[in-house]
Amino acid sequence: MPISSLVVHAEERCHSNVCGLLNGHPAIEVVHVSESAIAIVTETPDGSVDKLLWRQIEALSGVTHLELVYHNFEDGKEYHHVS
Amino acid sequence: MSPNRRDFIRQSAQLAALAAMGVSLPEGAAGAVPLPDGLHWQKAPCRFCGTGCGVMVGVQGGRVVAVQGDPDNGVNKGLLCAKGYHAGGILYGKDRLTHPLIRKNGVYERTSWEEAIEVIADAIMADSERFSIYGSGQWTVPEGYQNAKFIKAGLSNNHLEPNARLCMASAAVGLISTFGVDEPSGCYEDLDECDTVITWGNNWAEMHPVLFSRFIDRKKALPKFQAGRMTYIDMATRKTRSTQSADIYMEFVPQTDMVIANCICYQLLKNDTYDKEFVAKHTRFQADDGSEMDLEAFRTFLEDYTLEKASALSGVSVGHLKMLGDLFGDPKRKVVSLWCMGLNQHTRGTAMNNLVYNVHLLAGKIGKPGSTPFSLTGQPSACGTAREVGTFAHALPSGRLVANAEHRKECEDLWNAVPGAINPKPGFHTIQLFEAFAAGEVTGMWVQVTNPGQSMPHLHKNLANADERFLVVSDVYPTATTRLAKVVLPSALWVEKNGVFGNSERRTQQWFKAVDPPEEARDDVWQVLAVAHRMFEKGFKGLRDRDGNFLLAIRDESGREIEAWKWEVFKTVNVDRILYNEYRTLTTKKHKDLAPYDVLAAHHGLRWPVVQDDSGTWRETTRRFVEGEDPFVEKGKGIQFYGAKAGDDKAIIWARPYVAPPEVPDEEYPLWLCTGRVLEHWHTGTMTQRVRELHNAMPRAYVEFHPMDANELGIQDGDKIRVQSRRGAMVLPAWVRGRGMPERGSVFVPFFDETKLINEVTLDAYCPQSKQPDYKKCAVRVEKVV
Repeated sequence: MPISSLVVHAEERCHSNVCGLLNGHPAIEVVHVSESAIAIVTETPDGSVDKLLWRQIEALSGVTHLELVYHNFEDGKEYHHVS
Repeated sequence: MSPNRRDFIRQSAQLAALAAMGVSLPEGAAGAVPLPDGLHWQKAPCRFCGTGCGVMVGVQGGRVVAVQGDPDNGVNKGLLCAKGYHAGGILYGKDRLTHPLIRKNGVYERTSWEEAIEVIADAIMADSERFSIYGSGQWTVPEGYQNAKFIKAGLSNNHLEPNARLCMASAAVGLISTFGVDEPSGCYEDLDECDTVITWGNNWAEMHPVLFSRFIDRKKALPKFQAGRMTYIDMATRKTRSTQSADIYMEFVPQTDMVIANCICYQLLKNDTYDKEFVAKHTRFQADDGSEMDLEAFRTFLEDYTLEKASALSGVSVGHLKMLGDLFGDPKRKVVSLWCMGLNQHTRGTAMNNLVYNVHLLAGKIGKPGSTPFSLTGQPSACGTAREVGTFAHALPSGRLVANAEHRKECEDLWNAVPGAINPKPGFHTIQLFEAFAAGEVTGMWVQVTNPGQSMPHLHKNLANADERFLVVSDVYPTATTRLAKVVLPSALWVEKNGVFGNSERRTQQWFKAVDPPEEARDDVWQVLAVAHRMFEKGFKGLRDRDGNFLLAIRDESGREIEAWKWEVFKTVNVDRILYNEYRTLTTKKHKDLAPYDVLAAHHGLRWPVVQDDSGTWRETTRRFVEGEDPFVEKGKGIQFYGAKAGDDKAIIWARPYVAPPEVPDEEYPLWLCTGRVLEHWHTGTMTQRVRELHNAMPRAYVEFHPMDANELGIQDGDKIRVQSRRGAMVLPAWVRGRGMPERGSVFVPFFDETKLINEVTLDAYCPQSKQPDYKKCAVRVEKVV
């Protein structure tokens, strides 16, 4: 169960809409909102969903970029050689 | 995960995010909090790029299980990029190398450390004058230092090179030729104080994202009436994620960045907006051949770079060129110039570095908060190890040169090496070294912490016959290079060993080992020590010091030799501390003073020069050459470029003319090829390709087209395209409206994918001064593969 925290940056005009969308997502907890950024915590079943969720957030209208602050990845699995 | 543990992790994640946003937290709420069930946090610099972000590594049960940005590190203040966020995952790829391997009859067989060491020692002793070590800016400082001692004083041949030759040699030679000494004078705080950032061919949104955020977040946070003055100008040959945040994008014809820089200088002189007092007091002029010239001769030289001529050559509009001239001519503007590979991997890379310094020196925009030219680096210790330790073929530690008798003597005395042990003749630079290896002039090579089988340009030529030579590779995963090796040694990675890195802004950062390396993987420092000691035991003279003792002896504070070549002993001793403190004595004589190891251990990075004040406190230097900040600037000088070779404390403004690239598109090969990196992968991808999330996000390389070129060529997303140059070809899927957009007439291919070796296509022409090759420009044709 990867748990991460991120800071989401959005255009000023979209800020409240982005906040609302993030608040409504079951895997996201909004922990702090400032004028220029939104701090969130995400919790997902595995790493691939984590990444997908991150991409979904990036794709929200008005989101300019994400900053990743914390990531816990103790899923006990080894990563495969992918070459 | 137990509910309590889950709650704790959620709370840690919340606190980290709040700290990153600058929200005040209750005392003790954030930081290294040990869990009752054993999770322990400790600091380390990130393993990847040269930004040097601080990472807090969470360890439980002997494994790294979590990472977070280090809120106490001034580089990133708690933030990390996508790669840093996954840094822990690089340790746990399923195919980690865990045992030494020797190729026998074409098959790799597991062997013992004893046999591997014996084989390597014998091979080096058989032809020590023609043995080489090739490493990288990922060597820790102690690793690089010990290798320098081994090759320079032990083997006396100087065939030691880092892959930093391929990424920032032009930056180093540019700094030395302008200021007399290497490494930037500015610091990351300049991004907090500037009002303008110009990137010269640099996609910092993907390559140095934490620094990008540092400026862009600040710009976004300002009220509109203030934000309007903050300007980001992206000068490039490809639109990237950085361009999306730029106020102005200036696309130029490849190589004509030289023209643009000269045109800015032309305007500063013509408009009389240059900083006359600064120029008179702190600079002098030199022609391209090194002869002295005066301001009037420099003015005449610049007549070739009028707005109209520069616009015609570069493709940048007269309006935009004028805007650049006005911007640098505005004394109130605070400008940071940033660059990295786009400017350094250039057949006139040194000259191009000089030209950016010219602009800032003429404008007086250096040494002031918010105004600095700043070359970024791509590897975590390209500055700390390659440049400062001096792991280049011509160099000795801390700015010394093998060609300088006094410098050789200083090192021989410190190392107690036999007088004359260090050869005055520089060894082969990287391209020469691989050419010599292919030709058999160099018979042995030990590759450490790098992957030249994928990263060298013009691979067909430069890696030819490598599998027939005595090639040893120390690495953590199988790579394109290990597959060519006779002997493969499994190495410890990142927090599996102690280490010290030096980042782009002169910040030295130390970390302690946090977890054990897997199975038989061992530290690179130990590997070299063990081989050297075996050679000493076998009577190799070069490894005897003046008293007949082991040249690379590790000694405790009483001078007693520690048998650190024995792994069981090595594991119990902090050899890094001993090597680093020895190396440090060489830094204190060259104005590059490093802090003692124990002081570094107590800090989250310190920028050199670091000196003790009257109260005994160790003070770092934010801006170099600036009175009040740099302890080596004399009182009353204001700015003092004390590294100047002429002893006049003046920086050199160089007349560097535009020189066309060695290969340009023609009828047969009508497109430019530019290669580079992507956000998810670090360099050749050997570590990041093992992290599932990063691999899934960007699994394979591609060839990126401008949509109009693709349309004309009838190419669509996903089409298989053969990219062909005079040197080789590679088939890749097309990406037309992808993450970036190359300018018309050019294509872009990233080099992270070992199944798509684009360096079989690239050119290995290099800068005549720095010997750094140009990966950004060569001529190719493309065709659809049916």
